[in-house]
Amino acid sequence: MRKILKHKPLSAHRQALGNATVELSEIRIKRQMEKLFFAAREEVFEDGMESEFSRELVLSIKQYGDPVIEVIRELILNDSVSPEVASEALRWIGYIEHEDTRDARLRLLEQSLTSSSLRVRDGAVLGLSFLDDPRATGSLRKAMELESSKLLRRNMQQVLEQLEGELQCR
Amino acid sequence: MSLILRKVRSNRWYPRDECPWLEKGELQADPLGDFQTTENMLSVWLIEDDLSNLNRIITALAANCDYVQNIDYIVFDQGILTEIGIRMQNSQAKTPDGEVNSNWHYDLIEISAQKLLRLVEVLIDRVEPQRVLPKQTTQWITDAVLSGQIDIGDLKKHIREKIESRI
Repeated sequence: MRKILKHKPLSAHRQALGNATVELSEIRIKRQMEKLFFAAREEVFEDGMESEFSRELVLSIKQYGDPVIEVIRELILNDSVSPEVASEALRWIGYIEHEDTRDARLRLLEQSLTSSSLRVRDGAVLGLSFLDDPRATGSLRKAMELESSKLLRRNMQQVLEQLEGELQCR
Repeated sequence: MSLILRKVRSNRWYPRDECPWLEKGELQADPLGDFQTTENMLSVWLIEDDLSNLNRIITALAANCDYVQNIDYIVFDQGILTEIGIRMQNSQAKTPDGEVNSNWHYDLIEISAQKLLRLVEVLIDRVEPQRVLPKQTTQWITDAVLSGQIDIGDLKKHIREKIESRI
């Protein structure tokens, strides 16, 4: 007796192929970001100055959008990268002008306020200052209540006042 | 006695919280990164006693960056330099504000490694970094351009574009 083979419809193959492509692309982005963050450990960052790391980071976010932010979120919140590099990344994540990723960037900055590293929290505070989005006031206020460093609490207060001022302007 | 300003990166100055391995009396090494000398000299700014030139110097520092940024800085009494035996001399800086460059920029000179370490030790112990947020520096640069203190043509590309979009 001949065995009857059941073929999947063509659309299902296309769907599977599409998913595989997305997965491959996510893996590639992840590897690229890991490499970028790892290499940046050797860089000395200075406020207001571009670096190889910042250039590449900004380009990647503008090119790939939210998936890059998601990968960076994992790297930073799992403490898989140097706090100094994470802190620098968060500043630039707040700085760049890219509306498509604004919400994802805002979420990442808010989540990073609870990092175990002071440097990362400081980067998140500065990132929120650049982003200037009043939606962050709640997270910032909550982070201030939990913040153990007097200096960082003061820096958070400054940004909170800025965002509240922005809220009044709208 | 006047005051001295040095631009720093505040996140190098967060106290011992992140360094539980420090022995009693020891200080974290990261703030040394804010005191990189060139030819045994260190660039600083002289602040008037009444702080009347403070915002102008911060504006000049911010205007000298590639991008609009926060400015983190420390201010300390000039007496600390006398205490440690560090001399200073007036020198020309290269910010976009000519008056700031000629009037208030100094180099700390003939700095030995021992003197530098002593200076950092004293500063970590006595001063706390201050921060001016990027939104504020942007406003100050805009005001400086409008008042003619800074020529917009002297700003670097990204800052120039940002300021142009506001005026």
